[in-house]
Amino acid sequence: MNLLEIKNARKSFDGKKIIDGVSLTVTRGKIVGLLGKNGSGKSTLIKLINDLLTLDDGEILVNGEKIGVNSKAVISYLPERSYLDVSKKVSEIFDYFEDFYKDFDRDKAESLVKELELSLDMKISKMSKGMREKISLALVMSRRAELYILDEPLGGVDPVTRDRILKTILSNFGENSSLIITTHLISDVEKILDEVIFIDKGKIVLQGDADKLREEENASINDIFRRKVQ
Amino acid sequence: MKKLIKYDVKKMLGTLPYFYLFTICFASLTRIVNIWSDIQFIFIIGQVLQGTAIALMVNILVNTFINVIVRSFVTSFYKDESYLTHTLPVTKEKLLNSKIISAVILTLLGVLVCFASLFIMFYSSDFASLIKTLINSIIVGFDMSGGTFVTIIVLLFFIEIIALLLVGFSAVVKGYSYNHKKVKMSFIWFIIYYAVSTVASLLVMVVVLAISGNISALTATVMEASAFTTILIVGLINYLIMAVVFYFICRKQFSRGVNVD
Repeated sequence: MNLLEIKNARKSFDGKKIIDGVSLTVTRGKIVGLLGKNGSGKSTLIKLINDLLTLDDGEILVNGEKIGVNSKAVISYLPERSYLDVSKKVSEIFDYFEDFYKDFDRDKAESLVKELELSLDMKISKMSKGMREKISLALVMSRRAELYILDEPLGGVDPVTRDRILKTILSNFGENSSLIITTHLISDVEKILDEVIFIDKGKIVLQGDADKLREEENASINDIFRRKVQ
Repeated sequence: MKKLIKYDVKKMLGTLPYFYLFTICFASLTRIVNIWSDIQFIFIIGQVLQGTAIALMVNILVNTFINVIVRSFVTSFYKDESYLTHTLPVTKEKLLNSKIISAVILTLLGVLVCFASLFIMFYSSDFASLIKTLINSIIVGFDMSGGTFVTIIVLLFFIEIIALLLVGFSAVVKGYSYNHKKVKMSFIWFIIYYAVSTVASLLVMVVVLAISGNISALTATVMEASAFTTILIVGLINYLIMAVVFYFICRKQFSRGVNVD
């Protein structure tokens, strides 16, 4: 059974098609890059998978089931924007995750926070944007989820932090899980990808194995993307 | 569900505990200062303290409404925090029910603090007998005791607030289902929902009074006991129905899914 299956998904805003008949599958144990320009529909598709938007048409299945409580229990999602309650301390956010997610590993989260040179006693309101992103990443990667969805995890951070974030993602990602990462910074992530999905104007332009594509096209994913997505 | 309610109540409370504390402090100070109220200077201080305590009570009720609807409902369901709320492995119904139960708890708490403060400020045996006399004069000829009358009035007030909150929640859910001008649309839907439900309640009231032969009560300067009892009971049932209807409107719309910004 596919971990994630999207069948003919459609979503429009004010008559404008943002997601236009997208169909794709994600199997277990893969790192999938959902790549597209700004405004191509990446985040909308991710929001649809996470029940943050309603589908106009089509179907999204996780482990063969429609989006709901069961899918949310196995998806660990890092949104583009910070969802942290600014009035809370890091430790209080950990309490919240511990209360609601059975797969949340607090020890792992605490060690990740130390690794990322942050403190549990820090208040979210006192943190910079980069620090908040690191905390969010620690929360998401500390769940033993089946599907990790990271929406632009590298946006707005410096190259050193980018490397650290990628290292954190890779070292905390289980073998039987899959990971979908969306970004427009293709060259930064292409080395870790097993599969790539190019999205443009709400449509899937290309989906395939990253290594095979490099071999067939004799080019990097970044170059292939530039060729396919004008 | 318990965990959701725990976090919701905590979030909705926000700075309200400080207001609870200040209100009770000012009410107590008013009481203490009023012991020497025959001294002109102290009497003025007492009036200022009393005014402040009452202003704080109004503040509690207004802030409860704002905290419940804006701070908790809109922020958790439609702003940045919604990215966490809607991805929790919890059904939409539970998310909504938790907000409503927390709103009821907070409203009760606010009303209790206000009553406690009023009690602290004004209670005396003379004042109690004055109230008792007043209630007894109202319920002359009524087929109910003073206690029942007060209970119905308090219940009416409480259910009215809950119904109003549910109208607010329904309006926000409807307003935020639009792609643009969500706040404006929420406000418009609040007015529509409130106007429609109020007109419907009034119509029901008129019909019931007409059937019971008390229609003249609407224009009479002195109301008959039976008419007053009918108005109280129909009012109570109307607000209950209003609360239930808006709960289902809100739940149906919310269960269809959200479109966060």
